[in-house]
Amino acid sequence: MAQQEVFSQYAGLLEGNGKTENSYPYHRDVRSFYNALLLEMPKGNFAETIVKSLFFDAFQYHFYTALQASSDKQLAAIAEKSLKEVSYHLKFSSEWAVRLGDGTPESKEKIQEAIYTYWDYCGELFDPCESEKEMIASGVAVDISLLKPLWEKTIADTLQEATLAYPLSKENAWFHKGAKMAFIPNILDIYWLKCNIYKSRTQVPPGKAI
Amino acid sequence: MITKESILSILAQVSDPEVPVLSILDLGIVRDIQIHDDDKVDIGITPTYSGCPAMSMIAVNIKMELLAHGLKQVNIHEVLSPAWTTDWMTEEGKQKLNAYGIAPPQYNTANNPHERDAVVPCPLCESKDTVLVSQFGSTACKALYKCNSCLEPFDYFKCH
Repeated sequence: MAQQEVFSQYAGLLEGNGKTENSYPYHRDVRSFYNALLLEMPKGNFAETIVKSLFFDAFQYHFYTALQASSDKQLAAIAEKSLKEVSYHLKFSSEWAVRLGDGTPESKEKIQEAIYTYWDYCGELFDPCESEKEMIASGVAVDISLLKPLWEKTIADTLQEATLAYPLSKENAWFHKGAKMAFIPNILDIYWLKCNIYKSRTQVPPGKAI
Repeated sequence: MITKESILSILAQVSDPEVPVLSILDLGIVRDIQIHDDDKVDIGITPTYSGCPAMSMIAVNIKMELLAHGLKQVNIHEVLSPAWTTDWMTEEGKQKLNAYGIAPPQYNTANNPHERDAVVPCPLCESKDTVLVSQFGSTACKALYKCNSCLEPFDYFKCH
C-alpha cells in the first residue's frame, strides 16, 4: 500500500494535470487498472494466502533489486527503500511456507495443492507489456523476463526447506494472462501505469517537496 | 543568527508520533539541513517506512516548531536514498526506547547475526535469558520475545 502511494505520488508528478497520489487508486475507471491475476484470486485458506504472498514477495524482491539500477533516480530510490520492506515480507511468507510444508500432513497437503493452483498465475509476472518494453530499452524499467530464473531459485530453495515438491511439470508451461486488465490497485499496477505515462515524457521533473 | 546547531536544538523537541519518547533526531530521520543567505531553511527527512503516514505529521511539526522559534521560511523535502537504517538511531534514542519497554536494536546491520542467535536483554529486568517467540511482533520491524527470568513478553526493534 505504502509503496504504491510513493509510486502514485511520482506518477501524479509526472503526468501533471493536477493528478495526485489519490487520483490513481480512487479516481480511475475500472478498465484502467492493470494488475496481476495472482493478486485477484478470491480469498482462500491460510496455505493459499501464504503461497500467493510467497510467489509475489519473491517476485517483488527481485524486481526491486533490479529497479535499483533504473536510470530514473527517483524510481531507483523508491526501489532501494522498498527492497528493505519486501525483504521482510518475503521472510514472513517463506517462514510460514516452511512451517506449513514441514508441519502436519494436513497443512502439507493444503500448501502443496496451493502451490500447484497458483503456479499458473505467475508466468505473466515475467511477461513485459509493450509500453514496458520501450521503458526497458531506455533503462528506466526492469526487464522482468530476466527475473524468472532468480525467482525460480528463490522459490525452489524455500520449497526444498519446506520439504515440498517444486512443480517441475509446470515449468515453461502455459500460464494465465490478463493482468493489466483487472481492477484492484497494487504496486505494480501503478508501476505499469507509470510506464504508460512515462512514454510521452522526455524530461524527469525534480523530486517533490512535501 | 541561524546556525545548524540552533536548528538541531529546536528539532530535538520534535517527537516521533508513534513512539513519543523519541525525538526525530534520536531516530536519525533528519538527513539534511541547509541554511540559505536569506534565512531560508531546507530540511531533508527520510521515512522509516515507505509512505509512512507519520511523515506528513512530522513535516508539519518540524515546520511549526521552527516557525514558533522565529524562522520565516522553512521547506521540507523527502529523502528516499540512502534508505533509513536502525544504525542511524542514536545511543540516547536506544536508551529511551529501552526505558519505554521496547528492546532497542542490539547490533549494527553490518554484523547483525541471525535473529535466532541474537542476544536481546529484557527491557524490564535486564536479564539476557530471553527467547524469540515470533520473528514478527506488533509491527513488521519488531520481533516478539519472552523473558525467561521475569516471564514478561516484550517487543524487540530489529536491526534493519
